[in-house]
Amino acid sequence: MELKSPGVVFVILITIIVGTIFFAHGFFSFLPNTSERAKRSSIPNHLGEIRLNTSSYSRRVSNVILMIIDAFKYDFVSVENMRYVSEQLKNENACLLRMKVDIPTVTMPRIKSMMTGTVSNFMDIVLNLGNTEVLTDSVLHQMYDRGDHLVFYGDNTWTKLFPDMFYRKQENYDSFYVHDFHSGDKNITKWLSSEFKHHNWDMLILHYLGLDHIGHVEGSFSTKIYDKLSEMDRVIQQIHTSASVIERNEKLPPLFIVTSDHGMRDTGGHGGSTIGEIFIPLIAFSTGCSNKSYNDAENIFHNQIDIAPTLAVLLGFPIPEASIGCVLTELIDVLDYEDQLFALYYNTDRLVKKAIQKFGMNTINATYYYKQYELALNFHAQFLRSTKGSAKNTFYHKAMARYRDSCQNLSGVLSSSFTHFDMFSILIGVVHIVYASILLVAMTVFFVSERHAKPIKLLSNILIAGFIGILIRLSACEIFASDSELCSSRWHYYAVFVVLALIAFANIRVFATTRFQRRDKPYIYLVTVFHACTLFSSSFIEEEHQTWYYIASTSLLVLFLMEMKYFKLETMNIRWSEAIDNFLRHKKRSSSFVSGGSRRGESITANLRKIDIMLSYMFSWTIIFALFAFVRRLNQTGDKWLSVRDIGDWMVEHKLTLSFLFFMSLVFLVYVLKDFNGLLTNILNFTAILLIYHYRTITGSVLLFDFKESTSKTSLIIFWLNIVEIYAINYLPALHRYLFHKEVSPQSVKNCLGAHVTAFSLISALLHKPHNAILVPVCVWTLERCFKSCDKLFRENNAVMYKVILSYWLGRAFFFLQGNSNNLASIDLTPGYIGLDSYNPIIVGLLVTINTYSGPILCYILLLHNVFNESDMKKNSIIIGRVIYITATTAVFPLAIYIFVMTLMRSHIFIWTVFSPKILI
Amino acid sequence: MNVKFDQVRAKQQLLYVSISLSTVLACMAYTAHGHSWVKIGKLSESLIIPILLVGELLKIFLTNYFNKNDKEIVPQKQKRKSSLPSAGNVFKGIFIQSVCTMLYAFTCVILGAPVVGSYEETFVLSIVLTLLTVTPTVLLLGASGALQAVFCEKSDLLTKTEDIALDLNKHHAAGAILGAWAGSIVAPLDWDRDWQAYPIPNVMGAVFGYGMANIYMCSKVLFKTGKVFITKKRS
Repeated sequence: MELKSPGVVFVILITIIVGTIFFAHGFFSFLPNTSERAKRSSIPNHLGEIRLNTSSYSRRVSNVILMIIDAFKYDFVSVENMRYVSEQLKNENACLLRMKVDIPTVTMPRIKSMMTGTVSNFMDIVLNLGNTEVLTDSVLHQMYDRGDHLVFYGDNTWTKLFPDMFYRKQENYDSFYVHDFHSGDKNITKWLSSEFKHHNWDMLILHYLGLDHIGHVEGSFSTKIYDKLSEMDRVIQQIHTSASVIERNEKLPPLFIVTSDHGMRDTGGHGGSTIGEIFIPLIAFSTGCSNKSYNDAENIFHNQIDIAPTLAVLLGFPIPEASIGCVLTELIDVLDYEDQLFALYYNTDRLVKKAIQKFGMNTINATYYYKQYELALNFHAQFLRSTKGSAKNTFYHKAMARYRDSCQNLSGVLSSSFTHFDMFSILIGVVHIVYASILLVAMTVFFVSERHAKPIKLLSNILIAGFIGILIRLSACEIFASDSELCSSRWHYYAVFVVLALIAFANIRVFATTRFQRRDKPYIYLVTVFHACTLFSSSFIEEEHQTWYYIASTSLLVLFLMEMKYFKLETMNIRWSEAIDNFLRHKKRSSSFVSGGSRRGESITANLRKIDIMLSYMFSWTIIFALFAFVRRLNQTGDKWLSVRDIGDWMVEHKLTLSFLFFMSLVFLVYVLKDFNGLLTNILNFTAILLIYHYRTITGSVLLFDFKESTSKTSLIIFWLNIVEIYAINYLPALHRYLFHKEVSPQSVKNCLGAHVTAFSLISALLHKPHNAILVPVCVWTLERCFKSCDKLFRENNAVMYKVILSYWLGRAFFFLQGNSNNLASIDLTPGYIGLDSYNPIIVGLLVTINTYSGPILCYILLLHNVFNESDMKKNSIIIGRVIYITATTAVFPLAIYIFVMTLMRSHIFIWTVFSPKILI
Repeated sequence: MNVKFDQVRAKQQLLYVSISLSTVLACMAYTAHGHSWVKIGKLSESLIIPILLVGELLKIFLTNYFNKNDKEIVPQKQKRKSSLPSAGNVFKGIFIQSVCTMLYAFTCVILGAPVVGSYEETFVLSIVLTLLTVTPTVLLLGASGALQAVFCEKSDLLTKTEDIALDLNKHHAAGAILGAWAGSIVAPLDWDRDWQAYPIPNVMGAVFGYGMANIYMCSKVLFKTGKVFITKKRS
């Protein structure tokens, strides 16, 4: 593997990146929703030959009050939590529906879905942080175009999605500032009375975020949840009372809907697909709302996308163009029979047309729902023709049931058809990544050397590649995939193929110039292969932390045993009984043996020293094992055992223990960091941990004498200054030498790397939750110990390989130990706001990333610091090259397998909930 | 054929292996019978430990018995110890085994066994592992002999029988530990079966791994024997 030029690695990395881009493009490409608006003329005016009266399709309610309580899951509606609501439900003044939301269960795509009535793209979750304007037709667009007045109070996600659409608005800029439990909500409620006093709006939207924030910070079993729900209950009561005043003044009744954007999982987050997250309540207060279908049966539910067409029917505007939901029949009882049937006919007719457009008439004709639709039309026509009351009634019920059935089926089919895979692009991606990973594995398994090759003529190569690329494009598109986006005739897709051809060229060159020879069998990679194989199973992905804990602790154990064996071989010639005897007798007087010069004395001293060393090894390893057994119980993660109580939960309730643990882990951190720096930095480390402790004291998570909670940020500012100082102390001398003497000594580079380790550990300790702070010193200590053993046990080249692999494994293990999982919901957003009052995307993103990936990053920095040679600069470039190689192999091989798996299982039920988030993480 | 074939060695190996295999089979039969696997984790209800213990004792007695008949062939460098060990030796042996059990339990905890919730299960697992790995050697060589075998490379003081048995024990122990280690693979699966509960897969993995090691050694010996047999027949 002694390659002199970095060109090969470079080519492979480029191949991987391009492959990933192609794969992501193919896999996550969704058909865009049209931005066309539904027109009044699109409302059908006849059924078969019968003319329909479209003028009766008009406003049925005077005003709509839409109250959204973020993360309000279905189970939260109960007598204890919401007394007023339960009372109203019992008195049949309101009805409760169970709604199912689509994934991803995060706010922005859910609001979009609710308003446009169509399912959202999976990539919305990625864009969740950068909200973009909704261009698709929606309830709000329709009302705005009609000249209705829309008023909004609450989360600013709405105003980003629908800018300039609100007549009056008051935003709370706190959607990601999760520590605000009350002020934002109080702010919204404050405006209510004035809105009801001079009420000149047609739709009032309120979005309360407090519940979601409590869930994020304290979990779904917090007592604050109960308080928040009663607060919401009071708000609902206030609105409902004011709304009944409106009812008296207006001719038409108002409609008051309380719902949510998504639910909450048991740990308090959201973003996944547990029952708690995907089922939300919809409470409608309206005179027409009937309670007849209110039951708790597991399998009865509606979809969130049904809200948009229902609002359209009730407010009498055309159903938004992109909507694929069904009208909620429970809410349209206010209409008479004819209008109800008309609304359903209009709704279903649209969906049938959409389905025909998508699948073609021939496929649709044979389906169950189309037959139901035809039957419904038939009954509807009979209903319109008949004049007798009882016959009308039966036809109404028959038509109604058929419409509903057909519509719900159609809606399901249409929403699942939205996922669209661009197989051509996926194939290109898979081929590239698999190829690159095979090459990497080959390079790791075999000895690779470079053959002498002719220099490349760049220009002619590019020209040839361009020609071949266009040729490939033309032929491939003709043969395989004419419907792929890559084959559309825009010029930049030609460029894509030219790039592909160039990459192929580079790879061919790499292949031509490398020679493979057999080397030792690296059995260690079997573990990587094993990990890659587990990716085929969804439970292994959900519980991936168990794989890594197991691998990490096993590798620690094996290292320990190997070291013991090494020691055993070293001390083979010792007579054990004699040695132990000597040890016990002469332990205290061992110094006298050193000064004494006899041969026997010397050998005994040597033996004693060896035993001493062995005992200290055993001691440090025992501590490592004990710590590991402790930290793996800190945070439960994964999916199945997520709700089991862990030490972290316990700690939060026992502040004194937590304070002690936190303080000890900080002291431990300073202790483990002492070897990385000089004296001055160590003193700074000490002040830094005091500042961290002080900061945690004033935020109220740990105790220190009688310090009161406050919002002072002095300690944080000093902390960051401290970090800057640590960097300055280590970097300035090296920089000075570089600038004025033009020389770089390896020693100073190593110092700088040490400063990185120190600074990163300190920042992680600040950002981690207090009980997690112990992970940082444990990580540093364990890895350093492992590196020492590797140095002792293996030859130089192998030692580097084992070090890289160990640090990768431990990094993964520490990633999960921190409480992360392969689920987006487990990302902890709170550290992003340490020292911030408002949302700043760059800083928040940076801090959240540092906190989430602190394990892998720390391990990698430690690795670089360790393998860096202090005396020989030339050696370093080779070593770093090896490090990059092996990391790439261990990381890319599972990725390749994973991408392959995802392609195979693209229609698997868990593909979006279990498999896809992993690739994003 | 220039491979020297040692008839006595093969005989003894086969005898040793066959007794171990029958123990494994007995264990398997016991677990498969009814729903016994559910009880494996319980110290007082499971029959795995007695079965294994009886198997080990049987092994040592039978080999000793057959060894007596082969006395003339086996070269003895040392006078055999008296057949009944002293009380001190027995105590030492039990002490070593308990230390090993504790070490195994500690290892289980490091690898993720619950500390408080299922100490009994951990205890059962470590006893099974001790029985499969340490006990044969302790029974064979006595307490100090076993310690010597572990800490020093190879003692010259071993009889041939002991040497053969020690070699087999090493392989069997490796098989058992690997099997128990690999047994954990079913833990993350969400099948919710009763046999997924700790320590059932690990205990069964240990027994299974032990059995596999036996089969491996057995087939090795049989292969050698067969080869010699064929060459003899040809010549």
